[in-house]
Amino acid sequence: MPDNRARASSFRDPSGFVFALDGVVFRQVNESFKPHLDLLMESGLYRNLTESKLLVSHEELSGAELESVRTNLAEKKSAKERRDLSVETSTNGSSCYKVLKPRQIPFISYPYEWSFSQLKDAALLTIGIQKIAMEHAMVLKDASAYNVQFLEGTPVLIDTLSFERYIEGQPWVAYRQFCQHFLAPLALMSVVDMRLSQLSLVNIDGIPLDLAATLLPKSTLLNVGLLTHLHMHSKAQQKYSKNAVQAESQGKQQLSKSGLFAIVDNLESCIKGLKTKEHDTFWKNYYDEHNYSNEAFDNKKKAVSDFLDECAPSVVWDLGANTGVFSRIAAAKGALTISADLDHMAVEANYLKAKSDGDKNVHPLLVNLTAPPPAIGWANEERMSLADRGPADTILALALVHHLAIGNNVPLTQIAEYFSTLARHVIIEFVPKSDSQVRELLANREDIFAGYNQKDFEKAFERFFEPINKRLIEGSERTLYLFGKSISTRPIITSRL
Amino acid sequence: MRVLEIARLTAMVAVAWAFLCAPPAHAYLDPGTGSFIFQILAASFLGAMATIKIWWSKVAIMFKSKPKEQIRQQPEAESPTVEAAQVESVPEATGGSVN
Repeated sequence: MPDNRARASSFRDPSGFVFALDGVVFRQVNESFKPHLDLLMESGLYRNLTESKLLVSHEELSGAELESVRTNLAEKKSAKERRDLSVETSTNGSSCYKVLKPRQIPFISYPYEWSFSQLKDAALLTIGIQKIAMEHAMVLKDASAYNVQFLEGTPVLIDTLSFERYIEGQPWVAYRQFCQHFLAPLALMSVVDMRLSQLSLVNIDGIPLDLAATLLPKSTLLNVGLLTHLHMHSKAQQKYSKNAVQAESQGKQQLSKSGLFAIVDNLESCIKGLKTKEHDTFWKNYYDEHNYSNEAFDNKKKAVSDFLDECAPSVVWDLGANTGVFSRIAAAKGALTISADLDHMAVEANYLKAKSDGDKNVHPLLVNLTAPPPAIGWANEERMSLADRGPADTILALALVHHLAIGNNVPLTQIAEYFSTLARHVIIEFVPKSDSQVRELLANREDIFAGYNQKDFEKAFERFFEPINKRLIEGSERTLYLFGKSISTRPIITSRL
Repeated sequence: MRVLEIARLTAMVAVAWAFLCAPPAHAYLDPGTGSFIFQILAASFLGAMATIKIWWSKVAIMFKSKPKEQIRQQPEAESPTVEAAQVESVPEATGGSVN
């Protein structure tokens, strides 16, 4: 994780930027943003939003604290970091108005890692904040999905600098961004296919509206919200970008406050009306339809619980979590548990359960482990890769290794090595070839996996970890292992961490 | 409600036609200008929609038969929705959204 310099994700906004120092995130506010920040604080909007837990709260650094941060920064900055002049000039120069220390977000996630309802809740948060801001004579100048993070199970706006004074007559500057970041992916996921959320991964400023309009079926023309904010909006973009003169004359017209409210209100209604298609997927029903006897399942839960007690993690990444059954064991012990799976409906079911249970420690995440979320954006530095957001204290990899080794041909050594870059401990289940699930994987293909056996599995993991514990899961042929990071570990390839 | 649905669809088709028939433009041009201007047009359209919605709900109340007892006990039960009322409270929403 980049430290001691401006986060690459905040370079677009001249109002200020985010930087981290010794793992603590700060937000600098530049002089140019002073009137807007003052209005945010004095109008009652900040108090309203933070008390409702819609906006992340912050403390302003005192003069002495600010001086300490400056000294610390100056001592730590490397030559390369000095080239990133923004921090140096801004924290020492006149353009720095204030430095805020926001409540820290323990795990950053991105819209392409969210299920439908996660993105929908983030959208409704954003539009709800816009409505409240309008009551305080302010508006959101950014409506980026990246400004929303999940904190203790619920979405919260993290960008304090997203607000500006509302000027009567002005259109909503973040309208296009809201439609691209929220409405387009939600409509595509709702009407066409959940997997289209991945278009956000290759379109960092949201899905282009003309692309969304092309992919949506004609029936969406009968939905007032989608017709207006996607189809017609997309055509207007094309029409006016071609005819600059016409655009200039029409641009002199003004948008009344009630007109702006009508747009925002309709956007909210439109998003509320979008639903997921009712269908089940293989993974969502995995536990209902597969393998485990009740006894073996309970024994596995007990073994996982015991091993978690043994390594006492604060942060757990449950990889291949399905609907999060085992994630909840870790979460119940107080660990922030990233509950990752590649199946959209499983992640959706996981999120809806966590939401209805009010579970603050489970964070469902859409992750395809065979192609984990990469670092993206300008210079590949704006959004972090999955590994950049680690390491976790413990990885849970239950009923996963055979899918990686046999289903995706990843050698056991490489699985062990990658896991060693992600966490200090691994609780991993070995599933032998005699298990019904592995037999199913090998049913229609040649068995080219001579090295897939328990002995080679142990050998591969002991190359990167120390064995701490292992237990046969009674009622099954599977074995659960607890490995801990070996100090003398030397990865074969260069690790990013 | 059927009449309202037909009226709504007709209005939508008429307004949408001009936009949906727009020829494709150059993708490298900034689409932000279009988004700005479009809001002014969309506000008129959506403001008018909200007005029709409110108007129709009032008409529906007039013609809807209800037991007198229930009307006396719940005088506000059939008033426009909160959403509609919010729009109604601002006079410009009724087609005057473009100043």
